Order: sequence, then structure tokens, then C-alpha cells
Amino acid sequence: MKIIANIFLTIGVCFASVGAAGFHNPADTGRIEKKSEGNPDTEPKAWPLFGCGMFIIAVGGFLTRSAKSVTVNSQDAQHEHPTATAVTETLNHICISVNSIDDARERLSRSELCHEIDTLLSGYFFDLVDLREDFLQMVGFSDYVKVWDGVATGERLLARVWSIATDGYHEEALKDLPVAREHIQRASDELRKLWPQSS
Amino acid sequence: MPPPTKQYRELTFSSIFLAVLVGLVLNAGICFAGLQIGFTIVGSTVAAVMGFGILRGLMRKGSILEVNIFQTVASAVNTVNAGVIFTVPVLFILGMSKDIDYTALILAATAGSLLGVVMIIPLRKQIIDYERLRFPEGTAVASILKSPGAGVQKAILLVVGIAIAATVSGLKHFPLDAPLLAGSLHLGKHLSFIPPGFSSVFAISLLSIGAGFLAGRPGLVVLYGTLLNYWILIPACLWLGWVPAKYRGYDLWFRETGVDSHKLSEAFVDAFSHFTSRNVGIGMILGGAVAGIILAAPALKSALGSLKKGAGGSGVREELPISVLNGGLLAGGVLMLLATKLSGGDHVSWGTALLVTVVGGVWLWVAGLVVAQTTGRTDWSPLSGLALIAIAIMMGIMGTGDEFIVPAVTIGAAICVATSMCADMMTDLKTGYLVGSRPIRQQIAQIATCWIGPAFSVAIVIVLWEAYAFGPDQAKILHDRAEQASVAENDPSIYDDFLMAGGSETSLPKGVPPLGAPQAGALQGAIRIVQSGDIALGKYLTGAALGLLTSILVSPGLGVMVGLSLYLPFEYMAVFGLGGIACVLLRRWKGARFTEDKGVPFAAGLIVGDAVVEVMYAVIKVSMSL
Repeated sequence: MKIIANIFLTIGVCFASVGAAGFHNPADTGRIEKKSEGNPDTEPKAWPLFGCGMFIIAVGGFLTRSAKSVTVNSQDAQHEHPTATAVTETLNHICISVNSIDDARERLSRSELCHEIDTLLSGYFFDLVDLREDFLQMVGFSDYVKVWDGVATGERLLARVWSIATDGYHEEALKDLPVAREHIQRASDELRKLWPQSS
Repeated sequence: MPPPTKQYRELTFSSIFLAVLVGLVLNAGICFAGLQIGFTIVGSTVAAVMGFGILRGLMRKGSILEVNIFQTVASAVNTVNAGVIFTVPVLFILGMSKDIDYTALILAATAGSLLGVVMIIPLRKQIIDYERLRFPEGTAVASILKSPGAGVQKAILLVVGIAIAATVSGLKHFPLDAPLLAGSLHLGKHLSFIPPGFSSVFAISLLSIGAGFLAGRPGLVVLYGTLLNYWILIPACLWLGWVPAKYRGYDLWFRETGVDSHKLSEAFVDAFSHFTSRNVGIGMILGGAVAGIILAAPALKSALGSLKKGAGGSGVREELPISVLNGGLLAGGVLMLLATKLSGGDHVSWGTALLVTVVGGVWLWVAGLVVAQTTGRTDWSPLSGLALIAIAIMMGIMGTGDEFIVPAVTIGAAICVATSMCADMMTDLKTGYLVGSRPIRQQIAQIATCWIGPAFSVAIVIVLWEAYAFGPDQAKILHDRAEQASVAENDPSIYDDFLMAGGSETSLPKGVPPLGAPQAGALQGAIRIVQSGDIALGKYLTGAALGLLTSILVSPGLGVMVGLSLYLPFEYMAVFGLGGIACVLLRRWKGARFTEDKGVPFAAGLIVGDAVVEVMYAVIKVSMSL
């Protein structure tokens, strides 16, 4: 259905754009006496094209929204949806990884710290970002923000730890690690409130 | 290896001071280039490379986050030139240079610079944290900053990308008198089955390919809009006869005895773009922007709430407090009010000036939001289109007589500067997000230095006008100046020297760079249209309805993106789209992670290499001309 919706939208925008181009002839504005110069009035033809295009876009938009809601409503409960499972598992992995890095911070060398954070950012965080749009569509903006705020701030602080450690300031870098942990934990807690059935 | 200094360096005096100097040099070079080619070149990438070289290379003590502050400041000082050169030159071209109040102009540009920064800061969370817009240039800059620790493979890919792009860009510009490579590939001239009216020019721009790659799938909307305009809309309108009168009767082949079909078709596409594509496109951008604001209302509310809370988990403040932003808003508003009254003189009352300031401020916020979205998705922004609307709105409030052009353009310049600052601030904050900067430090650095660029950019425009003139009639202006100087000083040799150097009413003398100021030329035409009252309202309104519907029904930002790409040049947008297609195909073939690990550094290198050579070329041209 998504493909059909996209076809409708593509065609609809084409028709509507051509129709829009027909308004306010002549196309080279600046000549006020347009009718007296024998320039044709193009708007009678432009209106049907534009209207037809807008109708096709509306159909395409309706089909797009239907395709999205079928995907979500076809499951009994939101938390059983594959996206929900993937988001929960990935965020859990992130939580566990950040906690273990923070717990081991006194033992990790600078290069080990950088390596662990790099692996996390290009691994589980990357996977979570890939699920972001589906997650947003599923839970709506308000709930999405409650979870994602912690994820985003945690990610930025981990990048900060990485940068400062890369520059050779190991002790300074460690200061933001517990803060990053807090934000990731907050995100995880919010997700648990959203889907209490999932673990 | 022990760290170079005891304290970790982030927001330092030396980085800010050096960045201001670099920013001013970039400002001058890009002002000049912008007046020549009609659009400005990315400054953040070059600033990041220079910061890297100066702080880490020469001074041996710059940190990743300090270099980020460096590029934030340098690009803040430089970026305002886009807002100035797209608007201010029109006053000179219209012969109104004697009516310009330069104090008002500088106040307006400074107001725009400050307002652009303070208005966009509250949107950081929504655009960067929640929407996660890509900001291709910001991502490229982050790749440079992180290169010391990114691993050998990523560093090699980055350097290879830089080398390839720099080489290609170098061949396009050097040697100066006979570059070895053309700037674009005109398929239609080599393949006879392609009609001249069917756009087939592709810019040799690795920067566009890199940016398209980083934009990825969302950037393909830009390709769709470009193909819609050039491959569907233009042929359809030609067939229907919905074209300027002198082009009616032609088909895509533009056959006429004794006339070069390709030149004729280029002139037609230019005219069509000005009178149809741009109007429909701007309408779509406006409709899409309104839809975006409606749909983003919950996000904006959340973002403002977060700003009021302020402190992060450790009690460290991450964003500037709302009281500072309100202070900046008030200061910017007062400056804009003063600029309006000063530039309008007796023609503009204090009441009208206040109305202009309030309406201008609202439009500035909407335009800033639009530009932040488009830059976030593609690195392109409809600055000139939004400035045009700003000036039309101002003239609508004050009046359309010639006496209102100077104040309208003055405030238009403020709004254009503000929107360019919005785009720059967001790009820099994206880089900061990726490298771990505290947003508040970048925000402090930007607010502290944003006032420096405007006055400098205005001064550069004045210097270039006095030295070389600019605009579509540059040669005639210089010819008339030489003639008048000869008479005024009773010295015929002044005029004789001008002619001896090859100058005439239609050709520039040797040594004078061509400064067509195409954006100012387009603005001149638009101002005359506003004055005549013959505004293509039908196109704007239908475009707006189209933008609104697509954004609400399909996805926020869709109307803005398609609208923008309707009137951007085919040769760059098509190549940008090829970069996006390459990204999608690579993801399908090798997976998302491979694309991110290998493709992103390489694409970032393409952007950096091309941008560095473009700016070097601009600076060399300025130096040779002075």
C-alpha cells in the first residue's frame, strides 16, 4: 500500500504543480495590461489541473496514513510489536554497556575507554537511531520525547567523554560518565513506564 | 602520551581571537565570490580545517572541543555575508547609494545577527535531539574534528576524499587564465537526441555529491523537486503555452534560424525560473513552513520547557537561560526599531517602525525555522527567496514608493542576516552534538562574536562598489564613472585610459573582475514587481496550499523541501541527488553500518576538499584585485 500511496503522491504533486504554474498569466509579470496585449487567460485550465492534483495528493496522503496505522494496529498490544521489542532490547543493551563502562572507569585505560565508547556509539546507539522514526510513529510525539530526551543527552555526553579522552585528559573525561549514565537510565525508566509489560 | 596542558581547553580566548581573524578573511573572500556567482560557499568546513591546522598543528595545544569553538566563531563572523550580499547591493544597483544610512544598515545587520542566534537556540533540542536532522556540513565538520581518534581507516577515507575533491576543484579553477577542467558537463551539447530545453547540465561538484550522500534518503526529495521542475513542469508549460510571451510557440528544441538553440533555451529556463518556478516554490515553502509550525507546536513547547529547566543531571547548565535569550531578543528588537526609523527618516513614523519591527521579527522567526529545516536536510537554504518575501512584506507595510525601498531593503538585510545565522548556529550545534560540546559554550561564543561580521560585510560591499561597481550593468556604470571623472577633473586621460584598457559600455576594462551580483539583480526585478502591484499571488497561494497539504498529510518538511528544489539550479541539485542515490544503493548493498563507517568520512572529505579550494580561489581573486 505504501508504494501505491507514493505513486499517488508523486502524480498528484506533478498535476498540482503544473496547475499552479498556470495561475497569474502572463508568466513574465510586470506587465499590468495583460489582457489588452492579447495574452490568454490560463486560469480556467489551471484550476482543474490544480484541483485534480490536490485530490490525488489527498488520496495518497490518506493511503500513507492507513499504511502506517495498519502496521501498528495489527498487533494486540503495542509492546508486542517488533519495533517495541527492538527498541526495548537495544536500550537495555545501551544501559548495561554504559553502566559497565562507568563501573569499570577506574580500571579502564584511556584507549580502552575510547574504544568502548566508540563501539557503543557506532553499535547499539546506531541501531537505536535506525528505529527512531518507527518508534515515534508508534508512540506519538509526547511519549517519544520523554524517552528520547535521555537518549540524546546521554549520547552527546558519551561523545564528550570520548573527545576529552582522545585528547589525553583521562580524569577530566570520566567526570561526565556518571551523568551520561543517569540520562540513559532516565530514558530506560521512561520506556518501562510506557511499556510496563516488556522487560 | 601526557596531555599538552594541565587544564582541558574548550572555551578559550586564543581560540576566539584567532577564529575572529580567520572569520574576517573568509568573510571578505566569500563576499567577493558571492557577488560573482550568486551563492555563497560553505564556511564551517574551511574554518574547521584552519582551526585544526592552527590550534593543533601550529600551537600544538588545541583540543577537539576547542577547535569546535574556533569553527563556531569563525563561521559566525563569516556567515553574515550571505545576508548582506543578497540584499544590500540592490540599493547600489538601483542608484540609491546616496540615500543609504550606513549607521542604520549596520544596526540592522547587527540586529539580524543577534536575533538569528537567540531565536534559533530554543529550537536546538527539537531539531537536533528529537528530529535528528543530518546537517551534512555539520556532520562533515565533526568528521574532521574527530579524525585524531577515529581510527586509521576513517582518517584515510577522510583524507582520500579531501584529496580527490581538492584535485578536481583545483583543476576547475587553476591555472587562473586557463583552467584545465570545465565547471560542468553539458550532456545536451554532446548527445544530439537531447533537446536543448531538456535540462542536462551537471555541475562537476564533489561537494554537492558529498552533501547529497550525507543527506541520504531524505535528500532524494530535493532530487524529486528538481526533476519535477526541469523535466515535467517546464516541458508541460511549454506545451500548454504557459510561458513568457516571447517564448510561446517554441517546443523543447527551440529551433530558430540564426539563433543558438542552447543559448535560447538557457534564457528561457532562466526566465521561467524567475516568474514561475520561484513563485510556486516560495509559496510551497511558506505553506510547508506553516504546516511545520503547527505540527511542531508540541515539540516547541517541550523544548521551551526544557530551556526553562536549564540544568542537566549534574546541575551543570547545558543551555543559555531563557532570561539571556529574552535580553538578546529585546536588544535585537530595539536595534531593529532604530534601524527602521533611521533608514526611513521622515517617511517612516515611529508607529510604522514599531509595526515593521514586530512583523519583521515574526517573519524572521518563521524564516529561521524554514532555513534550519532545509539546511538540516540538505545544506541548501532559500535565503534569497525569504529575503524577497521580507522586503515585499516591509514594502506592503510602509508603502511601495521609491522612498520606502531603502528602509525595506535595510530591514530585509536584517532578516536575511538573521536567517543565515540561524542556519549557521544549527549547523555548528549539530557538530557540537556529535563531538560532545556543551551547547551553552557554543551559544556564548556565538552571541559574543556575532556582531563583528555585519559591519565588516557592509564595508566590503562598499569597498567593492567604489572599486569595481557590480550588478548586471557593471560595465556601463564604470564607463559612466570614467566619463564623469574626466569631465569633473578636466582630464581626458582618465576616460582614455579606461578605453585603452578595453573598457566600454558593455565590456569591463582589463583587471576588473566581473561582479554580476545576480541575486541583487533578481531582487531589483522583484522590487519593481512589488511596486507595480503585479505580484503573482495566484502562484504563491496555490504553491502554499500544495506545500501545506503535502506537509500535513505526508511528512513535515516535505512541502519546504520540494518548494526549495523547484527553483535551485538543476546542475547542482541533480548532482546532489546522485549523491543521495549513491547512499541509498550503498546501504542496500553493504548495510547501514558500513555506509556510516566508510561512506560518511569519505563524503565528508569530498565536502571539505571542494570547499577549501573554492574559498582559496575566492581569496586569491580578491587579493589580486586589491
